[in-house]
Amino acid sequence: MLLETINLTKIYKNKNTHIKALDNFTYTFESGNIYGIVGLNGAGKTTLIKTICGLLIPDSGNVYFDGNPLYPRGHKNLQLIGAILEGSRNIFWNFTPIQNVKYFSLLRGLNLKKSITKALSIFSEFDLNEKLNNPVRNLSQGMKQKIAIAISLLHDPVILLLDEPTLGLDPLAGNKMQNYILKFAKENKKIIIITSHQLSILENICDEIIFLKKGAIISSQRVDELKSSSKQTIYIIKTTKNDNLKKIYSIKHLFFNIEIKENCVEFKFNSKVVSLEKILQLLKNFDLSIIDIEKQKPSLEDVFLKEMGT
Amino acid sequence: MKVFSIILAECYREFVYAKRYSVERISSLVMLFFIFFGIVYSSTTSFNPGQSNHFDSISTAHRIIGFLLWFFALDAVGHLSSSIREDLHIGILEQIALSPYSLIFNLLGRSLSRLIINFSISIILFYVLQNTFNVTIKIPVGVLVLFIITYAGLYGLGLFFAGLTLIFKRLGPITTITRFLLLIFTGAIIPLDSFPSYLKYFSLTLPMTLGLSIIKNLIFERVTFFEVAGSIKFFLFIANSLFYLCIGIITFLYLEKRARSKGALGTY
Repeated sequence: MLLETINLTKIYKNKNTHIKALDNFTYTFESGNIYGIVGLNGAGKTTLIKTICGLLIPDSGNVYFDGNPLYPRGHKNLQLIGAILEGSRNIFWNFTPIQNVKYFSLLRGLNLKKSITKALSIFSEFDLNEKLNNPVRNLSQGMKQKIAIAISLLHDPVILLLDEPTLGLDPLAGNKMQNYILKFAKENKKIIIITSHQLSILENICDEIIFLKKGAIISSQRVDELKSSSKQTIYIIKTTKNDNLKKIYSIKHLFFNIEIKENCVEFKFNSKVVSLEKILQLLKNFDLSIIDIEKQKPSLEDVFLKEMGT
Repeated sequence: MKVFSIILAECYREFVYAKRYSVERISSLVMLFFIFFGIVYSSTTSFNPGQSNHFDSISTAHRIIGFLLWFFALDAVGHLSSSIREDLHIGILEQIALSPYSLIFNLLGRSLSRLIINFSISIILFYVLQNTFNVTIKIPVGVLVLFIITYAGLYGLGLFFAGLTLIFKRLGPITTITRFLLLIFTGAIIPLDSFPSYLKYFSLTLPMTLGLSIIKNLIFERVTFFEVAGSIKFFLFIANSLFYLCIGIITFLYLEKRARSKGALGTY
């Protein structure tokens, strides 16, 4: 399966404002891969997810499933999609998990018996078997999220869109969820597109990361390349504090982060952007004495901060 | 097959809700009964102590039939809009709309299941009202066909409001006004002949008036369905129901597309 988005553009228009949520978004997603979409709030991540699953009609551009366009009349392709949408309820909180399974199975035209069996097996993997007769509203946020994900998998979607799927999950549940998503994508050759602000999760499970800013792709990278990239090195330099600190903000664009601690100042930067020698010279110019220099490979968060220009 | 399955899903949902919120349903039914009781008694009782009260069993029987049809109209006109509003409010509409099919099929399922529930309730209500007012009403089978055609028009009006709800979110007062227009101006409790002619013409444009009038012809004037079926009145009745149904479907499909363009399925 090949999912392509070609020149997707979406502008939200109000009386006085025009906000470009997607700006000629073109990308090809392939089976068996997990794609992470990252960007600041309002970058267009949710708009992209909703456009791919037919909930938001783009102003221009199209989504293609193995070459078949979704808009205007290709909605039968939506059978291939399962989605967890951020900020909305994906299941009925007044229903029990089993009642939710029955409703959504019927909604998708599935065999009820087979769906319940499948749901029970997924619930078992998510440790949910004891809570199946409780109304969902009485369950924790993490459990609600797990039930929603289990239900989105009932019709065995070829494409799974997950908008902030690990929101509200404790680290253990988040970890189990990561493993399940990874297994689901790799064993069944699915396309999974995830948005999340928890970059460590994306780093662990994604094959490719797409950086989105104001609706446009500013870069995309394979995670393994990102990790093995020798050109990029992150340095953390600890210096003493002095009165020149205010002046140093004039060159803050060279750094990912400047953190003033109790006894020192930490400067974090990427050697690809500016060389270590230059930074050392600059710090010397500001009369800051070096306490320590630490060298590390960039994490996804570091790359994210660099790409977003923060 | 998939469309049938969507309808089944919505039926299942309505029945789960009906079971879970049975107290609410029963209490609203009791309230309706008292409203009707008050309407019938107030129309047959005089405030003037010198004037004797006159209880007219034929008028009461007419009002019972009018009230029962209005009972269905009450739900057909407002339920789709309020269920869409509830889905928008709790934030599940997008997940439901994540389907190759229009939301119109979901609404058809909701309407059908409510129709089944309301049909059961109306049978109870029918017997309680007959016993309370001591009248006997025999309903010929042909009424069922007339009822379905009338309901189709009302369903169209319900779809129209449901579509508007996708864009404007809160339409409560408008659907309430429409429901009371249907109670007052369709001949359900006030005879059409008592209205000035301009109101009479207005009432004929409403989706329940002609249906109710023909239903009453069958019940009270012993006219057969086949006798009615050839009349101009019946033709106008079909045209009226079709008009409302088509307007409802076209408006809903247009506004659903507009909501999907604006991203309004996920906002309340």
